[in-house]
Amino acid sequence: MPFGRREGRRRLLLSAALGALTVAVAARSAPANPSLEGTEPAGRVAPALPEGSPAAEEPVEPRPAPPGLPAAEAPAAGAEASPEEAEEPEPPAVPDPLRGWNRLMFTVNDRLYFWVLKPVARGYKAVTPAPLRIGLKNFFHNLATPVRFLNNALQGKVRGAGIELGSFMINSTLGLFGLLDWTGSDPELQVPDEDTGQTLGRWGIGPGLYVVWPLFGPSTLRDTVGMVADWNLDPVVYVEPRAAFGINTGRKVNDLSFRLGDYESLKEAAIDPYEAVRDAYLQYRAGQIEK
Amino acid sequence: MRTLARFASALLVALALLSGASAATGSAKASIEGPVESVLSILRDPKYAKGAPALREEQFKKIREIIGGLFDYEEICARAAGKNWAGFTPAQKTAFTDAFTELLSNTYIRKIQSNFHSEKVVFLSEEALPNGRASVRTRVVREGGDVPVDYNLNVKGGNWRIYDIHVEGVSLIQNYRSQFSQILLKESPDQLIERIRKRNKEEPKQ
Repeated sequence: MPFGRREGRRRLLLSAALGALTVAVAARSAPANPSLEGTEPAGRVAPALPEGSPAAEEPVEPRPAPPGLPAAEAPAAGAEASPEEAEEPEPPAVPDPLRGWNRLMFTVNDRLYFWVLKPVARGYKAVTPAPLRIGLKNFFHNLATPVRFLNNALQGKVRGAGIELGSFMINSTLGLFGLLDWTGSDPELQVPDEDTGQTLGRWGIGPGLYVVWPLFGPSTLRDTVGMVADWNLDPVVYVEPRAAFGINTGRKVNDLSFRLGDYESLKEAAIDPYEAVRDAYLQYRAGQIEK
Repeated sequence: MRTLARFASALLVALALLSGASAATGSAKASIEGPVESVLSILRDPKYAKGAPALREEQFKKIREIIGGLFDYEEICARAAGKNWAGFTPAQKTAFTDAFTELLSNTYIRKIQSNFHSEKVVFLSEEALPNGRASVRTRVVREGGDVPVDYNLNVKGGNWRIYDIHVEGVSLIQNYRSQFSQILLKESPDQLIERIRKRNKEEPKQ
């Protein structure tokens, strides 16, 4: 039974990785700085000070902290200098001690996108009719229901979990194995996509630090743990590994065929594309966790 | 009877003044709904489809004219520069504002010009924010899924002006602020302005 053995190994690997990373994240975020949690950053306090308080005016900002030191969070406190920003607290800074590696991987992924992924997705889009691409997108979205259902449940989102489960049942049957999305067009049935990284965030685990993975792109320690867990909740993981790789590549190319040009827009409008992607990712995830 | 008539007319005048005052600002949603619709109709105009460079330029100028007055550039620049803004000299502030404004209008207008695929914009709701500000929620409807786009507005000179745009929950201005603050850690404001200018001179890629 090679299948069973492989499964066992994979589970072991997963739990080991989960354990190690959770410890790493907890160790990093918990004692160092509670503002990492993102709910009540020190920034909220600032507007209560008299306007343009001298503390906020101070030009010295010990920002370029040595990698990994909690000092990297310090700017969050002084960031609310101008009173206009009172209504939007600056998101807490996520440290980037792996900047050297991250920038390198950013470049690798950038090349990979322009040299391989984009031409493939463009060619695919040109020869594949839109209804088929949408069907495949729906199919994979339906297939990944366990990820969203479980994470809705783990966050106590009963309505979300119910809608995910109901959609799955309807679309898997009436929707021909999920190729048709009957519930997607109903505004009443729209719930945000939940994943394990968001659940961990809800549970108070901070992002830890920013990391860029080859192929998978921007992430944080917490979201990396979440990503590994999500893979294991996705039924595709239960097919033969090489086939799973093929399926996931296909899924990625199909998804990309709808988003061609988005990355280019972000990159071309940026002065520092690495920093723009980093900030966009962190803002996006913080927003998802809040929802 | 006379006094009553006078009172009634005074009331009418007061009401007219009141409605006039509110018409000056009106709703934040209404203030961008019209311009967005006109931009979309220019983008849809078959006259410009796959047009010559001269026509593209004409389309670009038309769009810029419509949306140019919608933004509060002063606030946008102050926010994008963040806490470093206080350290800019007046000359640097002007240079930065010019360069950054050009970056925003050039990159984004040219991008929607070349990347427009008959998207529609649905205006959802308007929400009041503290300090008389407002957020207008919209969805851009496109193939393969909608994109939520929210506009933050404030009142400047009796008109609603956009000072930030959130795409999928990502604040554009915060995104620039994080880039600029990283650059300003190591470089001077002049060097930052030079970088933006250099970016503006680059040819838009397809």
